[in-house]
Amino acid sequence: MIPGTEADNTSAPDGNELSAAQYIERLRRIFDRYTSTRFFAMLNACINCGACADACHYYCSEKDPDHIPANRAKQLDHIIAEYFHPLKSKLGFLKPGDPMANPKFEKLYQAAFENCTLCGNCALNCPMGINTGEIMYVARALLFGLGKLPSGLVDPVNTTLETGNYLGLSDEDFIDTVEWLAEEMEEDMGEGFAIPIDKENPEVLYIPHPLTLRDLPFLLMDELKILAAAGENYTLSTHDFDTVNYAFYQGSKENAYTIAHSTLKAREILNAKCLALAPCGHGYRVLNHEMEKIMGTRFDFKIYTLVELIDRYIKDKRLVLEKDRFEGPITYHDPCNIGRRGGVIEEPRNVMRALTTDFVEMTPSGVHNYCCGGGGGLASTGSLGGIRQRMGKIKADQIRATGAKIVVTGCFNCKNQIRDIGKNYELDIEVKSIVEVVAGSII
Amino acid sequence: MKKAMNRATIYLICLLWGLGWQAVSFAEKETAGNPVPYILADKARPSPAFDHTRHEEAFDDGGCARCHHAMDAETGQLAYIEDEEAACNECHAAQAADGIPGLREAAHESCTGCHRQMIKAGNQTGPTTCGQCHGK
Amino acid sequence: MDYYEFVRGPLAYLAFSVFILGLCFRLLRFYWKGTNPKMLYPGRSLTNGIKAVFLGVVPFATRYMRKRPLFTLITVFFHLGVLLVPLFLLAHIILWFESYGVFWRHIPDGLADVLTLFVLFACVFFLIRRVTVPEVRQVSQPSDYVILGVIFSSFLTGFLAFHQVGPYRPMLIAHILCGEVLIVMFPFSRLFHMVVYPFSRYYMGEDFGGPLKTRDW
Repeated sequence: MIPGTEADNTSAPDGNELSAAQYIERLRRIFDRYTSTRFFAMLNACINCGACADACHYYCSEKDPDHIPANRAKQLDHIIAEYFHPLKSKLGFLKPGDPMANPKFEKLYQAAFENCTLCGNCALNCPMGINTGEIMYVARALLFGLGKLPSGLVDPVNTTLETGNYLGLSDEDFIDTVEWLAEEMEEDMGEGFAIPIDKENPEVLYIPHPLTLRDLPFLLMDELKILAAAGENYTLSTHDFDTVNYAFYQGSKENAYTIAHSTLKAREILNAKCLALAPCGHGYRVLNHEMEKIMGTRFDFKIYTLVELIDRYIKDKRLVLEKDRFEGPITYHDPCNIGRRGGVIEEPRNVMRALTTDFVEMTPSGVHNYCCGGGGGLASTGSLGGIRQRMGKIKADQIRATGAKIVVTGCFNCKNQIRDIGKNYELDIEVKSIVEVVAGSII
Repeated sequence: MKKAMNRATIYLICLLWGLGWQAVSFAEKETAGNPVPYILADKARPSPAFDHTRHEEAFDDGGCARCHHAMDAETGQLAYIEDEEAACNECHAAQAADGIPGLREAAHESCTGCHRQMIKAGNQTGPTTCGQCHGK
Repeated sequence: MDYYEFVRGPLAYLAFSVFILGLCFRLLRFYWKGTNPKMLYPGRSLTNGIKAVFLGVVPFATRYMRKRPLFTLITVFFHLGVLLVPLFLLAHIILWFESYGVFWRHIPDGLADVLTLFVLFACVFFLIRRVTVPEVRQVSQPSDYVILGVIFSSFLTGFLAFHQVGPYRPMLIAHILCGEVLIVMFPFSRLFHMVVYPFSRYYMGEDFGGPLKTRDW
């Protein structure tokens, strides 16, 4: 439970049928909890100017009225008008109907879970400053209360709540994998190389991505190689080894808090000076920015994504990279949650420039870069693969325009998405995580 | 570069704002014999066509005091002094001065004020809208 | 019954009351509903919020303005006209003086003429844009066209009345009626953006510009 709040009781129904009145009561509780003055200001501010349309990768890829951010916000507006109008929702004949039977909620589901990645690009293009991503987040919260979620956001979260990570790896798996990695890395790093686990009072507590523990251990090797080569006083921890926080995308702050709390607790137990996260978009944003909002306090320690540390190491000359080990024009894709919604824009570019002389920027780049289409929880649901690929067209066009051979990015979902886009749109590209290119260039 | 452009635009806006207020002052100056660009010109409305005879007949019962007043030297009050009925603009200049309201203020108060009172009382009366007095 | 006195007197009073009360009520409503102490925003930034509000109206300060230069220029002068003429035209100020004795500086009539013509042109431009540009058409609702129509007719009837083109009294009464319809529509339509703008833009600025340092200006 979030400290300072009363019991939430807005968790998704566990499959049991509730009556219409109970559903409406749930919706009301969620509505009261998740809406704020900011939200209402944004909802009331739209002037139908259409400037948001060409900022949204959905609309740029497929010009469908449903893909204009303003129209998505209107879906929520209709529901709020129907269910939460101060007068109409209380009068007898105008009382709202059963939410589960209401087609408006189907449309809202599409708008919130399938048609929006919460990337926030619309906000930067709106003359009124409306963040449709935040509005859709409230829509997700309402749908969560009704139990309408895509499957890919249900099981991973339940697994995390039970086992501590979304793949269900046990502590023994973790320790075994890490020890095996240390052995493999002895070749490069020297005899007796060890990876610290649960070391007390480190500078940095490093939280890896569970996929690198199970399926892609060479990426974890690269990450640890960077930390070790820079001589960082870091540690891994069995208390928490999962940066992923899909609960945030469910629309449940309660679940998101529970999952993020274990990371914060791990840092407290080991008394680490700061947290560093593996390249993971939403994990960084949720831990760094959203947790402060949910808990209502500012942290007195810093949270970094690995790219920020790499940039610092290069500046401090703790890490020396050889330029141009990788060939061809290289471009960088800003993950939405790290760039636009995370604030880490210049650091990866410094790193890229230290890596190669042939760095090309996409147009538009930086804060205004388009979303790849794989975020917002879409990447974890298989059935949404078709939509993801269709909406990746603008990204494919951007990459093609740069003429790049390698696309570097700082987020797993982006990596997978761009790799799929490359295949579907026949781009001749390789997609690499930023840790790969950095580790591959260490002298 | 972006910062410089932002600053330049803000200065430009402030400059336009300042000029705008200057334009307003311009507008309040008399434009007689002083050609002023159209965008800054205050177009004085045509003088009203005033029918004195009609008003005389309406105020037949010695109601000259309704409009004609002058400063009485002894009492220091405004009063009707017979045989000293002057035209409005002899005392009321274009701008207010020395506690004497400007011509526009005085005329509107006197003319339209009375017309509106009469309308309220349900009587036939003269015009109250701008263009009906200041007709082309 | 004198129609002019009616629209200029009691009806105007009613319209302005609805305007002010409606605006206050709608603003307060989202303040009441929105006070939720559990959703605190500790990472706020006052300076960035205020910067966002001001730079959102400076032409070409933000990226979306630079992307659409012609539209930006037209809309800036349109808003200038729509704000300056109703508030600072001498004829309007005289009416306020007659009713309540208040007076303030006015703009030259020549400037008001030019602004009015520009507003009329801009209304036509917006209408064409709303009908021809696909993304704007797909996001429009009937109320958008109605608002454009009311603004256009207010300025048109006002212009014609001032220059005394056509039958004067009916034109003037039509102008006052159009204006009153516009004023009454304010709190209940998209025109409310006039009041919400500083809020929504401030929130966006303090969120993006503050802890995130990601700005669009």
